[in-house]
Amino acid sequence: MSESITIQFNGQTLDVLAGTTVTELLHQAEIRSKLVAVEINQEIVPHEEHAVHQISAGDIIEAVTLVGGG
Amino acid sequence: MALIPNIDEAQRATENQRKQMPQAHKGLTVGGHTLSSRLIVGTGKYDTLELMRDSLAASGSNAVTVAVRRERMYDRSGQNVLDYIDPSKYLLLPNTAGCYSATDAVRVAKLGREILRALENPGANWVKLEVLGDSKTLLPDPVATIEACKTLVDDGFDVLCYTGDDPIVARRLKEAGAASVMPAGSPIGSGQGILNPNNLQIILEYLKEDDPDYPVIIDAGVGTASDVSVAFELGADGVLLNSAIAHARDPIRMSVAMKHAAIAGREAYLSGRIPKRLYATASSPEKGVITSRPW
Repeated sequence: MSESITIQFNGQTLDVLAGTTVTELLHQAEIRSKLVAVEINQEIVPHEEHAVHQISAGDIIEAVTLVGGG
Repeated sequence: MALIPNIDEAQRATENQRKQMPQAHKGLTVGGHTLSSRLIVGTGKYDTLELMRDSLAASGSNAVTVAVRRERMYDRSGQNVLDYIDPSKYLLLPNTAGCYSATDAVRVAKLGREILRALENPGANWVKLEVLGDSKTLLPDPVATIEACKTLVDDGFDVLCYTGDDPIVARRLKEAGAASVMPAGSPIGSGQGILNPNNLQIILEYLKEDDPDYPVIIDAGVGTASDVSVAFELGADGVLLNSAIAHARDPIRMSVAMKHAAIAGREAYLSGRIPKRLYATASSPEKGVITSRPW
């Protein structure tokens, strides 16, 4: 039994299983990982590390993409 | 016979002047990229992404700006702007729109770079820096803009820097290492065109003095095609616009207008306009008229 941890993801409070990776989090949120940059506690987690980077309790995570803009 | 050498001399002078002028077909070179079109267009505010895609195509632009925002969660049907921008046709230029501090702008610039790096878009080292001072006017915060520009240049970015039309700030931004200084014609999305052509002329003179190829791009305020022409006639190297196309009644048609306005303005600038005179100068010869004047 994995314990669950609480994180902030794109401004929302979320409970995920301990040990969840960035890739898994994006998958659960139905976000296309190729189109986003991920920042944890204001540090960018490079794409190459998404599959191995595990989320910690209390992490503040932002997943941003490109949108129309001027 | 004395006239002939004079004509030769005049022709030679014109020829030399023409050679010294930058050529229209050379395109816009900024931050290591050469764009065949001198228009950079935004991708915001379109009613649909299909309309955006078709408008971009009609504008003939090779570089488009995009913004960095939170991805919507749990939205399987969510379309992404990147699904409508062919990466082989366009260089993406991420902006820092919506940032009100140097720290935020640097943070957003780095996130934009990370997205483009994963997409292998050659625009990854580019950023359109925008640090705003006020949400009502969307005027830039010059102090924070200069600070963010320095930080981003140190971090290896090619910074295309949105600024007001103040020549001193423009000069400071160039000194800070901006790849291009992009003064506003008038406030963002206002459609007021170019409010202070004199300041823009001074900016062009200051930034291009001893450095004629330094790119100055007029960013923001364009309302219609003639505004684009005016910018190029002043000597601007490029124009960046969004709302004037996206919010036109027919954006695709307006894109075509903007494309031609850019070509017209640039060609007019390179051609060297005639000076303005108070009185008329007859186009037909004075000599040989068969009529008489009433005075």
